[in-house]
Amino acid sequence: MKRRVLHFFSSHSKRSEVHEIREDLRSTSNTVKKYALRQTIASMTVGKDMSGLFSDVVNCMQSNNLEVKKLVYLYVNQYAKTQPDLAILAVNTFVKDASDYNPLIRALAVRTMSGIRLERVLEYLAPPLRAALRDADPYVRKVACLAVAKVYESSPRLAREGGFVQTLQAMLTEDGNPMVLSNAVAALSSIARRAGTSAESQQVFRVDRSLLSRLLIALNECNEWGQVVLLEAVARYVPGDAREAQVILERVLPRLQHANSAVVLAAARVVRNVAASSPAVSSPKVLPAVLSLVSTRQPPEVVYVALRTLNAMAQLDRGSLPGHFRAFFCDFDDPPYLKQEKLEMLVLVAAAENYERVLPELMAYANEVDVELACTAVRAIGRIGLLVEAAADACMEALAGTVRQSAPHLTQAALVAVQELMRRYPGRYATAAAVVQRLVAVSRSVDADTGQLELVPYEDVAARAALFWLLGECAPADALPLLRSVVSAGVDDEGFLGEAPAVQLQILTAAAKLWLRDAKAGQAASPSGELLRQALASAVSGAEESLDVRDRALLYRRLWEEGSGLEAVLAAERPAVRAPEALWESEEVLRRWLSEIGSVASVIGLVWVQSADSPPDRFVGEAGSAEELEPERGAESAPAPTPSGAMTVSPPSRSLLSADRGRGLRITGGVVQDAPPKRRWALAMTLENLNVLPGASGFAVQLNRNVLGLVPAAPMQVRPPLLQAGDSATVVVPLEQRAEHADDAKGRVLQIAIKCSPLGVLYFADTVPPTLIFRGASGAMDRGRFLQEWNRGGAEELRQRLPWRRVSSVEDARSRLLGLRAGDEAVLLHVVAERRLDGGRAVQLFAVVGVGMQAVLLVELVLRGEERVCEVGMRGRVSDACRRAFLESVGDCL
Amino acid sequence: MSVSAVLIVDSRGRLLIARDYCGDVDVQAAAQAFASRLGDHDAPDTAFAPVMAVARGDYYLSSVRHQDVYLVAVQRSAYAAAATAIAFLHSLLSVLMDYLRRVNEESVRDNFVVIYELLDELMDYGYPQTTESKLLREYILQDDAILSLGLPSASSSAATQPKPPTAVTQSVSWRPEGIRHHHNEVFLDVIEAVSMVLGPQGNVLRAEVNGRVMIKCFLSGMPELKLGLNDKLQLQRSGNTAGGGGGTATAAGAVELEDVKFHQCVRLDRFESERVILFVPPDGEFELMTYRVSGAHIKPLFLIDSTVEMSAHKMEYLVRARSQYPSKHTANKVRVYVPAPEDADSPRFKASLGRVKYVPERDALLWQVKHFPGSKEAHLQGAFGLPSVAGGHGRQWAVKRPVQMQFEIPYFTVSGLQVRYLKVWSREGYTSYPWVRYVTEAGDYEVRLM
Repeated sequence: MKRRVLHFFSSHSKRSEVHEIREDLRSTSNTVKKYALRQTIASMTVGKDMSGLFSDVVNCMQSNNLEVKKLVYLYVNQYAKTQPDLAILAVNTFVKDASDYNPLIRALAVRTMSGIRLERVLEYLAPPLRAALRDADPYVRKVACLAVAKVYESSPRLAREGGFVQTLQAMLTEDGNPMVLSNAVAALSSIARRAGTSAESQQVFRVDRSLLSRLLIALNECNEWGQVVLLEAVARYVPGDAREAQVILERVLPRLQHANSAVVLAAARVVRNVAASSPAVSSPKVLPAVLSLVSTRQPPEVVYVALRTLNAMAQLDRGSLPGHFRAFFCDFDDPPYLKQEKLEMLVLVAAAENYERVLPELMAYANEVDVELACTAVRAIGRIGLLVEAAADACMEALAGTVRQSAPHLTQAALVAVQELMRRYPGRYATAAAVVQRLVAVSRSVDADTGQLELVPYEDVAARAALFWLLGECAPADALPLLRSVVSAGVDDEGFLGEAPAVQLQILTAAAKLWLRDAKAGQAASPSGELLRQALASAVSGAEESLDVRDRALLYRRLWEEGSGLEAVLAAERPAVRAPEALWESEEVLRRWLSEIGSVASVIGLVWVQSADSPPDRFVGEAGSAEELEPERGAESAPAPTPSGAMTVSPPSRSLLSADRGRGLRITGGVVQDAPPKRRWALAMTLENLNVLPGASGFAVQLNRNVLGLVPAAPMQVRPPLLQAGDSATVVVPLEQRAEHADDAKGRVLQIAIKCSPLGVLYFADTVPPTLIFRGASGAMDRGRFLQEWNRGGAEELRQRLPWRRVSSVEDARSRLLGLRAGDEAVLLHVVAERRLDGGRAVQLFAVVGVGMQAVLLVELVLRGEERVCEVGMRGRVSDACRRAFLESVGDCL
Repeated sequence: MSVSAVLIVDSRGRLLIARDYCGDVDVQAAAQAFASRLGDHDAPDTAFAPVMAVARGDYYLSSVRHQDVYLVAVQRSAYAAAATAIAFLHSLLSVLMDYLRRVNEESVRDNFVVIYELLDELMDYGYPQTTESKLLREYILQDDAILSLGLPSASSSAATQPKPPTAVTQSVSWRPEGIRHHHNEVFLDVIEAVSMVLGPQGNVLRAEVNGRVMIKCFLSGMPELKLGLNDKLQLQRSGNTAGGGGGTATAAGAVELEDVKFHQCVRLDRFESERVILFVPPDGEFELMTYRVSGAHIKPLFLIDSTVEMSAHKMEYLVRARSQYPSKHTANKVRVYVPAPEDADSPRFKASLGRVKYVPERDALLWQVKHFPGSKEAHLQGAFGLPSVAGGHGRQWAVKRPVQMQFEIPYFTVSGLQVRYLKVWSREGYTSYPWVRYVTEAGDYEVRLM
């Protein structure tokens, strides 16, 4: 026997290696063959193309060695798609194996063959699959059930004509084996999802009363994974009355104690949905069941899923969790993502009755070595103060307790938190004074050379702005020298002019407040007056890049010179800062997440956009990272981004997002196309920040797949980058069309997500105007193609009669129709055929209309002069919204 | 909704094994997307969560890390159950552990054929099928030598080929038929892990007992077992049915169990309705149930207090440990990890009980006591030398970290849980002898020093 050292994963592949494998595959020895196959599979796994060996591998299939067979099957599964002609060679052996007397081989053959997604291979599968569905061995039957789903996915026709779907439906009631039942349920629900219309999917798989009781009984007999499938099916059932709901609960509640977390969450979903559907039933056990997964006994990934679910529960019902706050204390060796989630939970469950025990724990985390965790802990303390009024004073003190000169990261987080607390509870300055004193104390240092006070150079802009705000608001002892150290630093890129605009604004206000304080005390010619004068002077002369800063400086100077105005502005009553609940998800979204407990959407917090046209099939990605939302960088096909200023378009007045749904951001505008010949696409929007406190910044935009295939061609640039509260800005995001981003099913709806800090991700949709939906004559088609498409089965036809309103004769109508434009220049109708009917009194036109980026709408137009109507027939895979848009434009023109 | 593909990738995200179940995923692209998230050092650690959206929401990845490999499930729909994917990956991991003993990059590379076979059997079209390794072992044989090398290939008659055991598809899917044992014995272990965080003053910040009942079962045929515990609810229930005679007397010593979770062999419906733990056990060792006990009545088992004096060249320790359990019990293998600065040198320590060792790789002092009797105090005293130049950060850190403890106390349960009976019914009519043991061990037992 030949022996050689094998390096399955060696990175260099030589020609001779493939050649050697080929020789070995032809060997008569099973051992040599097997090693050759292993090597083939190993190379295949690391992504090398081994499809050249297809025929040699298929020849090994005849072997009666089980392992060789499995390896060959694995290979065939991988490459059948790229080698359809050769795949046919394997069919004979598959069919033969499907009647082997070993059930393992029968099942293997059916499983592998159905995995080859080629209609010509699947056609041979029909007889063996039919036999497998009635096999004596349940192992084969359970494999066959899923095989039907695979066949349906590749060829619905084959599955329907073969009667396989009906067989599966029959098996639901007839097959006594619990595993076969659960796989049949899995297969049917997968088929139902793929079925086009909801009526069709109801026809394939509907949980009715009798099936429900069968599923509930089978719950006790299935293995854990079968139970998950059955529970998912039961979750689709809406109980008719309270009694029925009670029956479901009786069967499902015990599952909450299963050792498998998937079963627990699937059961929790059922119980929640049942309870939600009938008010008479309560579901007290869901919360403890999910909570029980937050335990050191569970793997961290499971704990993560449970925490995300509890997060939604806590946002929806703040009263339900405070008693369980201990469950969310971090363990020393929890992975970082768990610690973050647990801190988030601690904020959500904080309440008047438990904050005294939560705060010390958070302070302990603030001492951790992990900088990120420590900062999150400090921010959490601040947020608890914002949420729970009773805890505000304690939080202030806790924040003061965490700051240290040696830990600037904590001080920065604490500065922002204290500022927010003070703005939220304007009356509490007495308790805050000591805290601010301490914050300022750790934020200053003494210059070794000059002996002057200066501020620690914090890198976080928000923290610097907060620091100056506190200096102005509370005027602690060193406020004046500290401000002066910034304002009078003369160098260009240091001192006042080196600051970000948001910080400059706070410095101006702080200086003005200090002056006002002194002026009230009767010290008109105080050093604070000099400070204010200096600050205003450098703002007016130096702050070129920020008009906001200059405007504020000019305004202050004017008011100051006039005498009394400044006081009125600075002492004006400010609206109270909103509680942070306003930034949480809406109740509707939360309920939706909880009705899908354990799903990807509810775990990572995806929000889907409701649209009138189609059920949501794809979610808008949220995911914590900005990378998801930014346009791809370095995509080689992307043209150089056009500067947004070059496009002169004004935003349409369509309302895209109302302020209450947009967490304070109101957006109007929509998709536009600029004038020919450039015809560039853009998303033009007016953003209005109606929030009281936060300025929004860091904007990014993303579009869902849409009918026009539009994607952002350049990053979203808002000017100024910080959208202050109360301000508005107009943005034009250039768009480009990409075929891979086109989705004809979306209709006229363009789903948009905008991300910015601190508002998070906002989702909304624009309805594209009908004129922009249609594409010019590029959808040209010859007669043969047209006829073929027109007659293709499954494309339902829509017929409509439109009366004439403007035109008088057939000729007039015809010329108007042919003159219809898509957008501005291209002809809308591309006429394929035309003929006269009724001796010239009617005209029949067959034409093609391009829709969106790729789709075509086939239309038949009959203009009848006597009845003064136009009959419109439409076919093609185009959404109803686009069809309606076409009807509108035809109706308008006649 | 189902899983589209399962990947096994190494610690840098390179693909080791990919099994595509639904044909709608580019596994190489998915693995690359995972790798780019893994290698994204700019993003904070927390961004790498177990469930994430990649490739602009085309793929949703759920991942489980074990040593230097990640198991990744790829899903296409946001409606898909990430919770099921994660639970499946953990089951896959335990099957792989069972087959390969160790699961790491090397063992995955060396055994990719059997892993492909297992992946084929564990999941079909994205739906998990069977994850009981005891059953899988009957028809997926790890050692291919037995199958083919042992037999001449020409005569490898199909009769010797493995077949799927019937149990795979039966309602008792965890126990094959026809098991025979000479001695019919059941061993039952009640193991309680005490997780506790104590504050510097010995105050209990958090206390939780995670218990599990492990069974080693060597019984013939298809026996049915019934377990009775002094669980509060169980006792109340049986007290009611018995007419409430001695209800209060028994309920006094009862324990309130929370979050009880059972192995899939337990009849959950019977437990729900009658509070009876009834099951047909798998053969061999398995975890019958887990539970949690929490609340104010859990007292610390060990109290630790310490004084650390830090000067420029020296760090002096005085650590005292006091056992709080009754004196008739003894804790074994007690290990106390006392945090030490990373630049410590020349340790000089003395303990009144047990041995002390400096373990630089954990930056800690390890104080080991083989037998620690109950209600007794022991102490550890000594000092480290410190190099004069180093900065203070590492030293501060040393004091911030908690003291961690490990120990086990046999014949003792913190919760007071006791087995009242374990009855065995069998068709064969043998008598069996249940053996019950109790152990309390340390879970995360931490004492904060500041």
